[in-house]
Amino acid sequence: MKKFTVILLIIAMCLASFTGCGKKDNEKDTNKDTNVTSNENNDANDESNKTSDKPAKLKLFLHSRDIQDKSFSKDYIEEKTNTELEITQVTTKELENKLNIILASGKRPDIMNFYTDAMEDKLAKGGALLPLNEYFDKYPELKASRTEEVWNTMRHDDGNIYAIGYSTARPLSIIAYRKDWLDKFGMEVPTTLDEYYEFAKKVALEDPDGNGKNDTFAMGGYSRVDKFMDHIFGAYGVLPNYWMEKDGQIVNGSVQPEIKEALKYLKKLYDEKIIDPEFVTDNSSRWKTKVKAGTFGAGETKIHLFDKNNFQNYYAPFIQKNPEGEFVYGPVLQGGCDNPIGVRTESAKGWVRTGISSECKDVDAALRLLAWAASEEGNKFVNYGVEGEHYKEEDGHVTRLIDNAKGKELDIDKFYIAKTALIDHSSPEFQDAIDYSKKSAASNPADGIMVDESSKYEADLVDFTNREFIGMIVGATDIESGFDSFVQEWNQRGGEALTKAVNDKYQARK
Amino acid sequence: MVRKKITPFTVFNYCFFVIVGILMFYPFWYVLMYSLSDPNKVTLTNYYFIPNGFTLNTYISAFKQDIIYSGLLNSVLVTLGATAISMFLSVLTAYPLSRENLKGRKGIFWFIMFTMLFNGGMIPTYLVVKEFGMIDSLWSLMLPKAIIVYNLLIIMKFFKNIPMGLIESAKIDGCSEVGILFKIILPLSTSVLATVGLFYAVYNWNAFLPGMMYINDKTKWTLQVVLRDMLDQTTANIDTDDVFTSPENFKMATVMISVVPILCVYPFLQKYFTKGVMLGSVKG
Amino acid sequence: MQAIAKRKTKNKTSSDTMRYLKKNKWLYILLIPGLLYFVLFRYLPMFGLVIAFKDYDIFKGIFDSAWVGLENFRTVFGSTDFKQVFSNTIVISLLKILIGFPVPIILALMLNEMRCIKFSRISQTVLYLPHFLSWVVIGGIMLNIFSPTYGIVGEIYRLFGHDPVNLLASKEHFRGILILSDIWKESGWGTIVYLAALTQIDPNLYEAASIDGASKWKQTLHITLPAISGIIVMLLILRIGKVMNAGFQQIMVLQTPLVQSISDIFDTYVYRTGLKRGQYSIAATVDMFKSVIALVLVVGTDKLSKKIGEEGLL
Repeated sequence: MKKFTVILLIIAMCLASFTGCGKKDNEKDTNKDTNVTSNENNDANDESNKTSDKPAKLKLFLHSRDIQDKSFSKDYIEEKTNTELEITQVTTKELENKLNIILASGKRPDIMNFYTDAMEDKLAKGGALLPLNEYFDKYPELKASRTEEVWNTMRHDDGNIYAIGYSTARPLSIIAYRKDWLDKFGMEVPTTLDEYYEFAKKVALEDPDGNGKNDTFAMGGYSRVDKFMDHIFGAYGVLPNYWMEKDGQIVNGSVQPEIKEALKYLKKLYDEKIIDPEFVTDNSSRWKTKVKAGTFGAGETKIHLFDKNNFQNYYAPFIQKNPEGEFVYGPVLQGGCDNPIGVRTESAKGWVRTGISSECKDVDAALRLLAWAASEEGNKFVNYGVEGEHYKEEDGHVTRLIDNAKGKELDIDKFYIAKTALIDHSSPEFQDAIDYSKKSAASNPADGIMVDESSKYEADLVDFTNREFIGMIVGATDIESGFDSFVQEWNQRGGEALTKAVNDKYQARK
Repeated sequence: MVRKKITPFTVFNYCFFVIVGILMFYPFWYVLMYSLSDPNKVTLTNYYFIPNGFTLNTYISAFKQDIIYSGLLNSVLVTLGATAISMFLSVLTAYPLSRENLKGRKGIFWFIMFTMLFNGGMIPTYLVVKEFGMIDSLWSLMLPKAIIVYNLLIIMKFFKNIPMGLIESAKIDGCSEVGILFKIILPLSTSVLATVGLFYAVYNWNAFLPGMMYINDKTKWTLQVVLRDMLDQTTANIDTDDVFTSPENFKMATVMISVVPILCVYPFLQKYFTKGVMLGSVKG
Repeated sequence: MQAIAKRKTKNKTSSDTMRYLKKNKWLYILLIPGLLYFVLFRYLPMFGLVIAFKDYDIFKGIFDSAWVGLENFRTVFGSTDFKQVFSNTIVISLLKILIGFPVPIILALMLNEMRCIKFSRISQTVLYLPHFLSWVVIGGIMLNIFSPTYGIVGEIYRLFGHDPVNLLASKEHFRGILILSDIWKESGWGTIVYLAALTQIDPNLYEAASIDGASKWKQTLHITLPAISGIIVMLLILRIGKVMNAGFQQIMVLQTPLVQSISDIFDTYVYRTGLKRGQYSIAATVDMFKSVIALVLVVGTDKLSKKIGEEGLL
């Protein structure tokens, strides 16, 4: 009996000891969280102003890439920038969640990664980020790492730039056709909608892979109309869920009258089983599997199929299943309108963004790190390592000298601070394909414009458009009558307000 | 000796469970076979009765990483510790509540019930955990959800089913409340203790969010966080042409790695589900 | 006379209470650690409930964020598809309860009838396997199975000479698929509690009943079910309380544009339309709404169950 009293008391005491003194609900205790490191940080900074020899301590909050506490790359970077990095990593999808929590608890990491406009906007408006543009003079490599066009997309309303984004090759889609199937049917690369229809029909109905099954299609998709059908929509001069300029005004492709014609064409393709009927239920991974299996032969597809060095693991599986398979790219299709456009481009803002906290104690150190990572020299190291040791370069083409396991060990290609993803190690076919697609790709004139209405309406409008368009393509809704009521409802759901807001900002910027 | 009759129902029963068993088992088998398949062999029609190009590479690349071992260790520690704490607190709290004559029983019950329906949210809970100094400590994975009200209610209901007669006679014999709890109630409750123990163990083993939120130190990550992180790495690593792993296969492997350990627990607990625990306990 | 008796009982009760507390002090002491836990880790964070009534700014903190009263609720309730979404949530949830709730009970009863212990145990273990697979994984498998071009369902259609239908895109079939797959996934796990409850029944009761000539069916009806009715009712009340949770994970994974209008539930709608994205106020508002409904339902069904003679939650 006494035993239990003791146990109970112990439990109670353990719990009580955790209460600490005063459960304050005040989250603004940036100083409360006395970390030895931050104290040392202060001392180190005071000294670094005098001696500038002691490495500055920085706290980083990064997109998780399995960076180790100590590694070749980390040491190299710290040495080059005279810093000491304390890195917290968070698994991708939860990163913004955790960042919110950490900020709410009063802690501010010196350098942080985040992904969305909403987060960036929130941080900027809350005064949590350093305006990078104010330091462009002092750190020219930082400025030079991105073009003026890209910086403009990152600019907020107050004219400041609060983050630098991860830059990749764009666009990632291309209009491509199975060359071996074109050859089989004795056809040329389609240049008009009619020619496209002829080839697409043969692909779907005449069993080009000769396996006796009706399992090849011109194109597929995953539950959306705004990622795989741009070659058709573009032929009519409009892209759904995309901003375009018309008579000097910004309008949304989704509600343009030309969409009707595009939808009719797509419906025809769907009815004749030229489009994979499973596109209405597939998800991204199933679609990718189908692409790699060589199911699709005509239309907008991933550029990675062109990279013989197996970028993103598309080419190798594809060739394995289709040893004779080969892709060739094609031009924007004519015959839909006078000025057809190409596929859409991803935002120049990039995906993972890096910002510096406005409360960072050693701003110079943070900028030093960012500038070096963004610079040509630093970026190359981050991507590949040291020339001669880890890679060799000939005529702009890079060949890795170490295998993946070694690369992981050395922490190569793991730091996403102001990174530009280099594609120098991809095959020349890949780079050609990107250049080709870029030429005809449709750019987003409103790229980078952020308005309040975006967070209120945009996600819903995108979903609504996808839903309605898919319904019209599969025949659940009549296109003639359905489209007009779609436009009406789109406007009512906030589309009109959103377009106006974006347009106003666009005009102001011009 | 009662003769075992084989009725049509018996036959139906066994057949039913064979069919249902196959249905339940197949997806598990599918995941296992997929995880043992070659990532480079793409297929759309495979039902995965056998691996599509057998390879252990996916598992090997997972277990090559040191962090999976610390993850396993942390998960085991947290699961054992949390289950012990949870069971202790739950049993202690359920017993008084199971006594119908306890004054204030209703009030205390709804006081607890309220927390099942209303909760403060992620950020306030984080702040409280932080104030208690538990950030980056394994305690943060064991205390905040120490009592799950659903489990508590189950224990309480089962305790209630134990005849008052037993308790009365024990009291007459001079047994204290605590003694009754440990000498009478608990031995008669092996099945519910095994059940709720399993519930807590599974909950703690599968928990991902607390580990992600409260722990910054990678060496203290639990298995679920480690596996999720490793999965994200492979998705990104495809960028650097790692031909030995691919997200789908790796995803399947992580499922297997995280599920198999906890699956081994239930068979051990099954022996507590024996009938007739109360046989002959109440005389007259 | 009566007045004096009343006064006497009144004086009695206060000293009675003291004596009662003293006599049963251990029962209350046992409650202390648990209650301490609830206060520290459940009630303490409840200051966050006010977020639903504020425009929460993480930089200002909870206390300094501006009050907006019921504005957040108006945003949520006033959103375009709210009515449809709310009705979907209730319908799907109720169907799941109606069809799904009895299944674990029936399975447990059937397992209980098995003489061969080994077979019974293996069945139990296999039965709960799907519970451990996430909907992401199961969703992928379902996509494979239901694929008209490549999957088993497609093959079956072709076998009977029909054109395969994509059931996952069909408004007529989708809800049925949701309910059936949910039952498939969780019923096995659900049997565990009932199996445990069945072990508490005195086997002598069955012996006596069969001697009296009662059939298996009658035994089940008059011995087994009443014995576990307490647990059944309690679990049912709790399940009904959770009616606003109609299966977020499952629907997020399986939902596609063509069936969205009939399968979008409260949680998926809020998540999808970004109402929740980074906006903790809206998330808190949604949670508050669900909590209030849960409270009303739980209290209501508890009272109802007592009226029909069951013991309810407590």
